[in-house]
Amino acid sequence: MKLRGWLLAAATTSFAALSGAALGYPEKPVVFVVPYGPGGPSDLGARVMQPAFKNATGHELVIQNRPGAGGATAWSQLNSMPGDGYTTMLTAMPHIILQPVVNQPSGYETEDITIVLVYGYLPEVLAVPKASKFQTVKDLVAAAQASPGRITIAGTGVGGGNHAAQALFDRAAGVRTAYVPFKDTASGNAALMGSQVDTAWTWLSQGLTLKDNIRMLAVASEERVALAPSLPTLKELGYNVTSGAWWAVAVPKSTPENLRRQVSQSFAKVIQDKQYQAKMSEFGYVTMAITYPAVSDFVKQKTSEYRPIAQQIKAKK
Amino acid sequence: MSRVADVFIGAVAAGFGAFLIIASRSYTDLGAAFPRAVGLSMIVLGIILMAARLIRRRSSALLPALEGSMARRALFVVIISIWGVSLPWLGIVLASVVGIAGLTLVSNFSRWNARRILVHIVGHAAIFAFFYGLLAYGLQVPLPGGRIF
Amino acid sequence: MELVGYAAAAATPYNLLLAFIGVTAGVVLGALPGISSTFAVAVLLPTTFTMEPVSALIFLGAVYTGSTYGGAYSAILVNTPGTPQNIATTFDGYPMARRGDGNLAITLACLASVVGGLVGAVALWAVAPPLARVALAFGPIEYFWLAVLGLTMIASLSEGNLVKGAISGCLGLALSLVGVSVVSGDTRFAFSSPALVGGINLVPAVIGLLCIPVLIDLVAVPQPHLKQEGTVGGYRLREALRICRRGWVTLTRGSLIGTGIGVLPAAGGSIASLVSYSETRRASRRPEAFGSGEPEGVLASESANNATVGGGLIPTFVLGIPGTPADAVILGALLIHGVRTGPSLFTERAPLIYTFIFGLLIATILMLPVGLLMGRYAYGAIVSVPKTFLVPLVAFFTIIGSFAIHNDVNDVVAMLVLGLFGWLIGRVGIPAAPMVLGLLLGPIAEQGFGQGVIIGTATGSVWAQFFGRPIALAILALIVATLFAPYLLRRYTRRIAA
Repeated sequence: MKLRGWLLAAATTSFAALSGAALGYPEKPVVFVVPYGPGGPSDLGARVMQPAFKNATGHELVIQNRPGAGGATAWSQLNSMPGDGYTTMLTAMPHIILQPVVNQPSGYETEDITIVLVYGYLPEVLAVPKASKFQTVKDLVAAAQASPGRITIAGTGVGGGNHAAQALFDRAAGVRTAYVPFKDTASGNAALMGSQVDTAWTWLSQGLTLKDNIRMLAVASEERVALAPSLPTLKELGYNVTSGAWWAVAVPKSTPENLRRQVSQSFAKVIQDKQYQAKMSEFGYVTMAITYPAVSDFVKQKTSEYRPIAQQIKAKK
Repeated sequence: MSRVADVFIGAVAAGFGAFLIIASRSYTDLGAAFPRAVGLSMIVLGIILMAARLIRRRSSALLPALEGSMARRALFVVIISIWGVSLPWLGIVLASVVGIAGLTLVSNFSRWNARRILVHIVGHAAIFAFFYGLLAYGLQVPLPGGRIF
Repeated sequence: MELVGYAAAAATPYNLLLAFIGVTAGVVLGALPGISSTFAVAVLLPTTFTMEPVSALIFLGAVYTGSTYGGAYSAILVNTPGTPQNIATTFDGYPMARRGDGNLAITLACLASVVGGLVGAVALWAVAPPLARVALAFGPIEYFWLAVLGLTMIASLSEGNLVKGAISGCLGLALSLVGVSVVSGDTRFAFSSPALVGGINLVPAVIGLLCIPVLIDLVAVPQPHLKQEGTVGGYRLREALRICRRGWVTLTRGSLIGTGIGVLPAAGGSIASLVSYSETRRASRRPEAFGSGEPEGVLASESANNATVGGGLIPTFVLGIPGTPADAVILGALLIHGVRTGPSLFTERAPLIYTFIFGLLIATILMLPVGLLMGRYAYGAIVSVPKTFLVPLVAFFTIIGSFAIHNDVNDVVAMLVLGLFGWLIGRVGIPAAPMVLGLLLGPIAEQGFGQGVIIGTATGSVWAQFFGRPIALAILALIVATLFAPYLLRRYTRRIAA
């Protein structure tokens, strides 16, 4: 219910924000740095946002891909960019909470990132190949208990959202699985579809598009998702695991207070776009708007949720 | 290639290999596997290179001698480095003006006269304007802007 | 009869125009170093949002195939691959241009690209679902051995001194280790510098290692950049067709290798052209000619990289897994247009898919006139322009190309440092090309190895993983053949001579 609470709060704040939005921003194209390569789930969301941004503000949203080190390359450079309100960066939680702990030195600390808007949530799913003998989460957990460390589970990178989900699930189910990191979502999914691994943690968007070849066992969101209503949540199956990726807009630390609010409100207005929301929900993304400065509490809450997991992943490394 | 140079290269390669192995001590086993393998290969290759030259007393295939002006080469490296490194401070336009002017002078082997100078200024300005327009506006490549100006 | 309908739908004036614009834009963008196919497709993606899905696909496919060919221009004329897929084209294309055969090399590249592109598109049409299943059989171990197979090419790129070539390859592998490791999460060799945490990027490194040494030696002497014989304008089409007819085996092999490797999601066009080049050299009766301007080297590389366009779309359409980085963007376009991927795409959405494939075939054929004509101007410009224009312009592109790929000035610095380093090691007889190979293949080898070890440990036998899988063993056999074939061949010919 927490998510719904946030959404409600978000809706009210963003409405309040919109009515009070200062005029005059943006006056020219806004740069949105995407810390991943073109074509991934995050990049795709940003590109769908481009026309909506143009509609809402009258200016272009310029996407700059700056991939590297699972996003760390871009995030570690954020604060050296100009704080003029025209430089913004896509940020993903829990990635920015996990990386500084797991991949030392990652070049930045979680607290260095100034988030002004959380605009989307993508739940994670536990998936197996179509031909897998595991029909339910229970089958999988039973197999993992019978032979600890034998079940292989694919995910993207070390210290990303998938890795956190694996650690959270192992702890909740009391099992030990072997995490196999891949360089990006696509190659991990390919390994899963080819049964190179037993199972994988991946994103709901992938689970939906690849449903011819993989089977989702459960989703790690608070509630069932509309696009796959028969898919149980881990919570209702008795595993207290919720995980996913929260997309946020961040600005350099040097961005002045009033500009931070303006950036936040402009993007919040952009994502109200009907077409944008329709496309995103088709992909399995939940559109939400937690604006500045309320968003800091949200970030703090996620940080305290994920930091222990980060420590656990680091200890096991 | 002289024997001394080959022996030196072999030693440097072996030393670099040793560095890779030593530096990988703090990594996890999985993270250290490749640095160790590459480091070991470099040590072996370095030793083979040194041994071959020291024992067989034969030098490897001769390279063609360097032709042309070393000063021009050095100037080229200096100018293109200034061009690249000054981008964040001068911005793309100013840094390129400096770079293009400098490299035009370095790569010039004929006598300058008023006509040639004019042709070069106009020509470079037109070419630069075209590609700048294509990249910055056509493709929306965010070109570095200057800090100072 | 359905096919006629699809062909007619693909050949509407609007779609033809899009295919033409796409190919032309692709060739221009691909020729600019640093503007990769992925970048070209991604940057033009928003313009397709308002189009019909099939027109959007035809346009993006045309851009992709055009840029893969366009990259050959800069590879041949200034030793700088315009896109990573053209790395292997520099090995023989640039020596050809140096001796005055640049126009021939460009015409050959165009013919080979068209052949490869057609083969890839036909494979997409005819055998997509079964080939996609093969892609899924490729696990981490197979990728590991595939990367090792690519690394055996170091031997053929070493120009005389194998030990020095191997040292160069190891340097490239070492560079590929910098930054956060995918499989272990260690931050390696970054020396606490945030700029190094993300690792050394391939494109700036390739531009630096291959192009800067050329420029350094270019400014030192007054002689023109490329030797020029006779008139500049000729296409030398007749000569090129003769070479293609003689090299039909090379073209076929390159196209098939390109299609096959394009299907593999973690490989891509650069590896396809490298493997095709290496296999062609191994099968050649005069392997020593490769690397010093052998026309078949250009045929091998360029047929393979354009075949990956169609090949890479196979897993994209059938599985929803992009075969190459540019396919990831095309997959995004499909999703944005609400087209669901999967085997059902070829039945339920048959009009869309087959119309697109016809469109891709048309775009590939359009590449012949467009590519030849633009190649003629590109060659003419590079040959006739004075050094005082050529050097600053190429230098501008080394800088902007390195910058544009990730919008990062650190990449420019890396390009310059590696460029100077590439020139220096060249002076002591260490070639730079194996270093590029190590940098390109290192991550694939290491990730496959690490994942294989994790899976092997979990399932109880690492040995069974590495040596117990049929495809892996087949690649292993190829590796052994590549390494020992020259030796055996020499013994064989000696015995015949005796």
